[in-house]
Amino acid sequence: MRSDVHPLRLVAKALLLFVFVNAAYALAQPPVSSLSLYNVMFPGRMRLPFDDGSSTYTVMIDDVSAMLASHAVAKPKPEDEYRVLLIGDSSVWGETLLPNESISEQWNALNNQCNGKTIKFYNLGYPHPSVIKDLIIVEESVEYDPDLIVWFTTLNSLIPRRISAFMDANREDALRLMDTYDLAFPERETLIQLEPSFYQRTIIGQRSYLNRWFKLQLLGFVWSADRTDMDMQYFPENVEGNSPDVEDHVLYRQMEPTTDLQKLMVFEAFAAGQEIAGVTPILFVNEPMFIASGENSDLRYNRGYPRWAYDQYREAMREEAIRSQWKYLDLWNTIPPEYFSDTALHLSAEGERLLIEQVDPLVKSMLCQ
Amino acid sequence: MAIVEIAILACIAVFVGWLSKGRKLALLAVSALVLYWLQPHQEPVNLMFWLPTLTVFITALSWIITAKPDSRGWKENRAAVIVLLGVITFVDLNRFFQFDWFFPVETPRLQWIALVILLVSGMAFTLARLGKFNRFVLMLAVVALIGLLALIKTPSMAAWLFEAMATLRGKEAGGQSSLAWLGFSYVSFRLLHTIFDRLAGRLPSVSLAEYMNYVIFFPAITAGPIDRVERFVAGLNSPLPLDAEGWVDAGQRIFTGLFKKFVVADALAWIALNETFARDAQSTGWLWTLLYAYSLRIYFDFSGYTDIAIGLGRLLGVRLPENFDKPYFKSNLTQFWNSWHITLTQWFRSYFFNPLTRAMRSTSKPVSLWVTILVSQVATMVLIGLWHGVTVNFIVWGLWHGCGLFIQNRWSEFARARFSARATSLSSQRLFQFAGIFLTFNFVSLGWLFFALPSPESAWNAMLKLAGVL
Repeated sequence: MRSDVHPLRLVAKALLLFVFVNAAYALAQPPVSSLSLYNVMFPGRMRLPFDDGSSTYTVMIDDVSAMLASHAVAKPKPEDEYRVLLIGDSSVWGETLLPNESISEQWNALNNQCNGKTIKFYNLGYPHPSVIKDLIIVEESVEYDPDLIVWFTTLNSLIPRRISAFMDANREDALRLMDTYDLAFPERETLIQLEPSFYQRTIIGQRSYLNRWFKLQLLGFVWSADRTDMDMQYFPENVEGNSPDVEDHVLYRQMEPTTDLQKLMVFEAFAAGQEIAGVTPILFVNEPMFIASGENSDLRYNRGYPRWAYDQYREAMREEAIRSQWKYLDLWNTIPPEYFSDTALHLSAEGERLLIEQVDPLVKSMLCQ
Repeated sequence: MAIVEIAILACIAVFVGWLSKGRKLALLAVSALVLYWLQPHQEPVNLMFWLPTLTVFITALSWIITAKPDSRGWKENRAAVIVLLGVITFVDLNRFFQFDWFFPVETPRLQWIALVILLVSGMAFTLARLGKFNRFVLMLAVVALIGLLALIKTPSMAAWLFEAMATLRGKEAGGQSSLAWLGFSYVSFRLLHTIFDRLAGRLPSVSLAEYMNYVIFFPAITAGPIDRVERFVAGLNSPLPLDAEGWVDAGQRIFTGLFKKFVVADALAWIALNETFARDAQSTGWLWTLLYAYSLRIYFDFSGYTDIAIGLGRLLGVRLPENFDKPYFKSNLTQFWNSWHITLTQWFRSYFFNPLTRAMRSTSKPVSLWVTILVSQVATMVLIGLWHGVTVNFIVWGLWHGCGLFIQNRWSEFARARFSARATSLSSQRLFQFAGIFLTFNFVSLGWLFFALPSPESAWNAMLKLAGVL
């Protein structure tokens, strides 16, 4: 039946084909990441894909093109829509919150309208505090024609310190932006050295990424059925809230109060964002945070920030906003402590609603007038 | 089994299949070693050594009581005995070698093993001297095997067993409710098959090496198929040559199996219906796709492993029976069960369904046909359910299929008389065929809810969601 088949020749041919396909892939580097079944076969996601640790509903993909391609923002903008992009870290993404409790969906639920258009908010927050990460997302997302960008920030974001998986996955974008806008990043040289080898560019070398990309596409079925991207069995009952007492030290990332933090803050990223956004206005918002009132609260505002560091940051941010004529809202102490969830920056669903109440008037005025 | 383990087993299969002398004994040694190698590690009570050893002992004792006296001679079987005891001793000595990546290292002291071997050998020797075993002994063995199977398949009893063993070793059981005993579901059914055939006087004369190889044949130890002993031994004694065609056959099956299991099934596992997805579902239509994903996943996973087993068997020169035949393309439930886990279904047909049907129909006052069909089909399917685990879910799953088979049987009778004349054109036959496939697939998929979800209540809720009423 198969007497004409020679197993060794078959194996040799298979190996040759394997090598050829891998080499061709490495050389061509097809834009797999920008291909997506979301917004075509499945509805776009409300938040960028982020693995909350349970891996049930989503996957850590990190590549910004793949992330945005799966997001609802990648859908063409309707004529009757004002498109507002929300940029920031985990507090914008909404850790410990379901998608419909996150800031964007609560804002959308208000169904704000002006000039005959609906104001639609898109959550482009991603749980890693870094303005360089934010800038990469801003650069990629301006092509989706936003009418306004609301950029939430905090001290941790302004002093990026390490190469995250996100930075590694978007290495070329990160380096290009650093070079173009002269952004300070302490691990820049290390990032340069992370250039993928020829092997890492082959299908075999990228098997982990391709597997995760494939999983993201398949999870579209689950997203369509359940409209959630995190397993809520972990939240909110198991969330450990913020303690009113804080540690009795004043170090910020091992830095003493004598440190001039302003030198480390990458304000250039905001300026770059303004330039990239072009005519699209940006509203900068200093995120609200939990303020401790118990033991050692004279030393620290919370677990993350000693008073000296955060005060330096606020002052510098205020000065920079005035100097650069940014639209800037400082909401650092505007949310009562009981509206925070597991960290000093993560808000509860009710806290998000309070935050919206404070930003909403300015957003409307910027869009509608 | 992981891909690396399958690759290692394939290399070993090629080597053993290539041997012209001592092939049966080499295969026996490898199969016995694989029992220890693949036995899952369980905490807090580690039975990685004792469970495979128990499999070997139970199989050997089953051979003694089922083998004909003329095939139990020491001379013909001593090599097999030496191989088996050698493997057990070799694995036990790993407490000194410490190859923890390959075999259990927490093995008992050698004197304990020597004592157990002595006891079992003494029992085996005494049994072997007894000559022919009567019906009572064989039935006792059947009860013991079914009892053992029920013990490990019943969560509460398995938990109790675990607790007892943990206490014996001065440990906390830690809430374990299952006993991972590699391949015992298949081993016990192969043993029961030989005992039933012995009772019926159909069992051929087989040596210890042949019998052990049949029961613990390493390609089929984790996921079947459940071959028949006479068929297997015939294949073992006249191995197929590993020529060009053999290589292509084996390679094709192994690679198809690897693709089915590690690409298709593992990818479908991400989206296959589970408790969390069913609980959070908001869209009826998309929930159906998750259920279909589960149906496909379970098929590709199981049939993938079967392909790998058949491919590995082919490398050894043994052709294992097929276990699947495009089950989701069958137009009624009877056909589905003739093409899904075929060897298990055939086993139940031979040793339960047919005898029960015969018994019900051959009494002085025969039970009516429809009652016979209902009782035998429901009872058979419930037993098949219980084979997977003694839980309410599997009983309900069995009832689902048993009732489905009965309804389909009655409907076929009803429809044949009325509609067969109408379905004369090719297009109408195709329409009926397609409708049958659609209905059968959906019926089977709904039945999988009892597999996928932890309780009948959650399965029922999911059914309501699928119907759009919840």
